[in-house]
Amino acid sequence: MRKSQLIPGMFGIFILTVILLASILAPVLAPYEPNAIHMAGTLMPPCASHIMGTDLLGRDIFSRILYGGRSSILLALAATIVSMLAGMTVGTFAGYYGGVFDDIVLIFMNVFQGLPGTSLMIAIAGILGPSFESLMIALVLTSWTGFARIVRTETLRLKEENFIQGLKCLGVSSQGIIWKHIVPNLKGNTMVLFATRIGRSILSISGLSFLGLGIQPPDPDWSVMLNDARMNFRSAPYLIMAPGICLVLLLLGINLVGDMLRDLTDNKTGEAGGY
Amino acid sequence: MLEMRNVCKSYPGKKTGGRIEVLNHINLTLEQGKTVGLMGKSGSGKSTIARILLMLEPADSGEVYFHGEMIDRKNKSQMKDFRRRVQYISQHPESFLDPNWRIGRSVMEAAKIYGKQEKAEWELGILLEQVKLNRAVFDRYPHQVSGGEIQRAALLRALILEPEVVILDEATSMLDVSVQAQILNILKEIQQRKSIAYLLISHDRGVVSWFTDHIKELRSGRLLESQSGEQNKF
Repeated sequence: MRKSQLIPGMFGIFILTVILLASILAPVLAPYEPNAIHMAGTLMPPCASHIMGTDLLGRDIFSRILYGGRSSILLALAATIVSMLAGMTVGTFAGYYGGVFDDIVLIFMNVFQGLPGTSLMIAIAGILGPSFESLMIALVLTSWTGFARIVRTETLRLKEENFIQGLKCLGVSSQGIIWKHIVPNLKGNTMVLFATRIGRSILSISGLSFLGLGIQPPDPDWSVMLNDARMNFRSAPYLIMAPGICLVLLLLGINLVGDMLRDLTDNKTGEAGGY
Repeated sequence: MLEMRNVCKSYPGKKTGGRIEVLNHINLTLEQGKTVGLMGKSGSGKSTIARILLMLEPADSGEVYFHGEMIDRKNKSQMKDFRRRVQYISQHPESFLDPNWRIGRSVMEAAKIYGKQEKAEWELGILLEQVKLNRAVFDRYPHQVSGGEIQRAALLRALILEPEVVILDEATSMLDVSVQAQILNILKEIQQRKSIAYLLISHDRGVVSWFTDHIKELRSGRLLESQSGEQNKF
């Protein structure tokens, strides 16, 4: 892989590092308490004391931006990791062993994928009430099938590969083939899918929070800030720009890193062999 | 030593909807230190014979015997012993080793499975010399070396297990003529030293005639005797 091909990925890493560091160091970096109301200074445009201005309740937007990525990123990470583990386990075993287990898994996947994801998430979050747990359940239930389907298809292809046949002839056990050879060979696709899904999860969390079913005010969150800014964005566009730009940068960073990981993990696209 | 008796195999036909008979009451025996050449057109069922002999695919009817004992897939200890003693080299060197593993790790995995790491390490120098492979190849990934080197590595992996039978499914057909000759010579030398039985599957009559003691040809699902290797030298 050429160095120039790494530039977008490195840019993605830079964006994610800045966002993550800002979120982690928010208590140190934030000049004000994110929920501190200051009614004497509402809707202030960016100035020396409030570099991103203040909102309708006089809260410092920069401080809220620093804190605002924490819950979305953490929740999206946790939900995507759980979905990936569930989807990979089910997809790998269904693809490798086939038979009745695969048929049952396929039925479940079709049922879950047939349901409209956003509506299902709204229904789950609505029934269970707005909380971290209900968002997590809604996200996992709607996204594990994406992993399972792709992993199953890849496993079906891999198990017919010449080297897997060779390993069977050597006497490698099915468990050994799955964990040592199939799962590591899935990492390229899984990483890209993980990056895509984490981006989608953040968008879903933002959507649900925007609708009032996700993270609840007054907790600082970029999507909650977007919702709060709706009423005043014409007179104070900076209210919507700061959280909007942060969300776009976060998603861009995740996608760029995902693409780079895919290219790096695909050994077959490296130097050409001599045959 | 390794024998298939009255083996029949058919596959579902894509166009007709019926079944296409690929193998019709096939009998084949591999003997210690001998090479049987198996020829036939593409799609005639040569690789199916290899897969059935390797117990990778069940036959519709008929049995596979190893040292006079019928092989039972469900008998795990028997299968493990069988897997060690009957090895396979594929026609696609570029995809025969895990692309994510360095060649050395793939080669030594064979020894690890059977707890023969120490012995394998001890004998590695001799085996590397026998297959004429440089140890530097061990640190590379499959896509970084030539097809001939991968075939040598695959052969080395098989030899570590001290097999009694090696099935060579078009094992040299993807290689250029000079490398093909080198690999075949190495195989012959190893056979003379270790009395391994080979089944050489190929569509190249010249190679089969030169390399084998006995040639069989697969035509319309039946195994026919062909001229012996000695009579057919080129």
